[in-house]
Amino acid sequence: MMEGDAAEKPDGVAFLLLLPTVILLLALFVGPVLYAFYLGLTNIALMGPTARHFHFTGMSNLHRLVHDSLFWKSLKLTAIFVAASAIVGVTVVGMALAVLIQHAVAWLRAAVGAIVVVAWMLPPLTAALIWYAFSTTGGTLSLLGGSQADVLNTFPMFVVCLANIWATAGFSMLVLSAGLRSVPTEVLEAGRMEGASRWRVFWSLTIPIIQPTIVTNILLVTLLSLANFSLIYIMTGGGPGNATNILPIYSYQQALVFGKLGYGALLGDVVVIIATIFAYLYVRVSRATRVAAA
Amino acid sequence: MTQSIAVRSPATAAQPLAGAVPEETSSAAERRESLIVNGLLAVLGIMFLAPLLWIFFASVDVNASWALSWPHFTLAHFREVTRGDFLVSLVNTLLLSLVASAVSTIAAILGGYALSRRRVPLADGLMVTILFLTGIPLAIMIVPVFQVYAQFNLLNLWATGVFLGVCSLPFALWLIKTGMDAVPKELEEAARMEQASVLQIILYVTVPVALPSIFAALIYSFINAWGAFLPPLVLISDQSQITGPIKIYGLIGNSDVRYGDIAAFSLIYSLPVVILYILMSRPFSGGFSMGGAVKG
Repeated sequence: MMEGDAAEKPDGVAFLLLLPTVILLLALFVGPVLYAFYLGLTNIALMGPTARHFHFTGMSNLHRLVHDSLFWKSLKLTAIFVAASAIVGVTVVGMALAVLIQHAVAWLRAAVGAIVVVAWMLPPLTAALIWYAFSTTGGTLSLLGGSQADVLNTFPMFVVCLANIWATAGFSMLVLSAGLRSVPTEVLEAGRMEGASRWRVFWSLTIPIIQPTIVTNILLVTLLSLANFSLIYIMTGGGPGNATNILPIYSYQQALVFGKLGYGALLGDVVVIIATIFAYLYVRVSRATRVAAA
Repeated sequence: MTQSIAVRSPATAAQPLAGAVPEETSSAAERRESLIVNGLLAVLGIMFLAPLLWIFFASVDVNASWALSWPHFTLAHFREVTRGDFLVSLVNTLLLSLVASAVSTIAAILGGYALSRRRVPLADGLMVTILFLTGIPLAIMIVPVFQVYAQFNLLNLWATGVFLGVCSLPFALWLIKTGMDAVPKELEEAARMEQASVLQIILYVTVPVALPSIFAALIYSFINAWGAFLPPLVLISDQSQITGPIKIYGLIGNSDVRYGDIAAFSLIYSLPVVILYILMSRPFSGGFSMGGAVKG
């Protein structure tokens, strides 16, 4: 067999075919990530003498990180943003939409589905602009309040979480709808026969059956929100008074606004480490599900 | 396979469960239930629609502001934002997205073929690594890329396009490899008998059959680059090369805010993404969003 023959020899063709991918990933993916871990431990600056002649400064940036109260605040804000918008907001709102859409009349289903999916697929800048217009002074929300109240400035974290939920719920809705459709109707009918209420059937039958989908959804939305630089940066720039300064923004500020490239890189490393944990969980969950399905 | 959770567009999504034979006995209760369900969904729908309305109204309103108001109709904003600087920034966005999608799709076709058809040592491990990489937010790792690009004088549109292509590469590779796995091997064996070269086989046999997954990867990479904010903000130093989102961002911060122009331009800028998405509304995989993680 030809396949067998090919397997015996070292496959030079496969190597050549993989070469562009490997070079690109090493040069612009793995390389930058590793380089960032090195830069994070140097005194490199955007301008001035240490821009070109920077050197390894050992633990000095790490020492600074541990004693940087703004870093800890930023870490906490990142956790709040991700938890509120990804876990609570998007999953709960996405689930509500998925369930309601399953039982609603056709035209309403089509209309609401379209609106929610459009909100999800809009470019990040457009979503941020829409929410900025909605919540800033003179925007729609402030006029509803009857005054020139600046909602965005008064409840910044709350508003950016709402914006993130608005922009991401469509994704959760699609994923969870697929999960709901995979639940065998006989199981639910059997539950109803036993006299269980719809609510009871949902909690005791539907949720456990689609649990893997829910977990995958939470992990994906967490990764999406964790890296969400544009939405918050465009709406608030991390302010007011650092109230929405999540790690990706703080990293950008330190590196490219204050010119401390080294420290900024270190802050970026923290995001990558957190993302690594969630990406690892995601790979484990999706492999486990695949094995179970096989 | 989890990766290919089929997700249909919501319009065609839920089967008409309600189309079942109505039962006389519980009809009152069911009517009440359906009223609650439809009512709740309508409220949610209005909440999602409310912020969105502004961009449509303001784009055609003579007296546009940040607030939602009934427009005094004009097309002046659209005329204003389809020429000059605005048009240049849209062309830049297009070039950036074309470079990014070409880089990621071509590399992913070749690499995906190798992983799908050839014996590659540790292929399983590689695929797991690729899946893992789709979750790493490369686009916010801007400092090292900036540092390297600055050293080699690469702070321009083209090099930024290549970087954005690499951001999308892991997921494009995953999509195309999975798509090619579904192509029957017999098709290629016939071509191999005819002494076709590997590149010929890829180009004339495998690619045409795996086209849906290749298109999905292409559109995915394109949309990602089109929406990218942080990489072009940091990595493009030449003002004449700035892309649409950077242009809009600059307008928001202006002292004299031209609300109508901003709304009209954002609409034009967002339209291609909506169109491409509709074109792609075929089953796509759960990992789709993973790549969304590179939204910078």
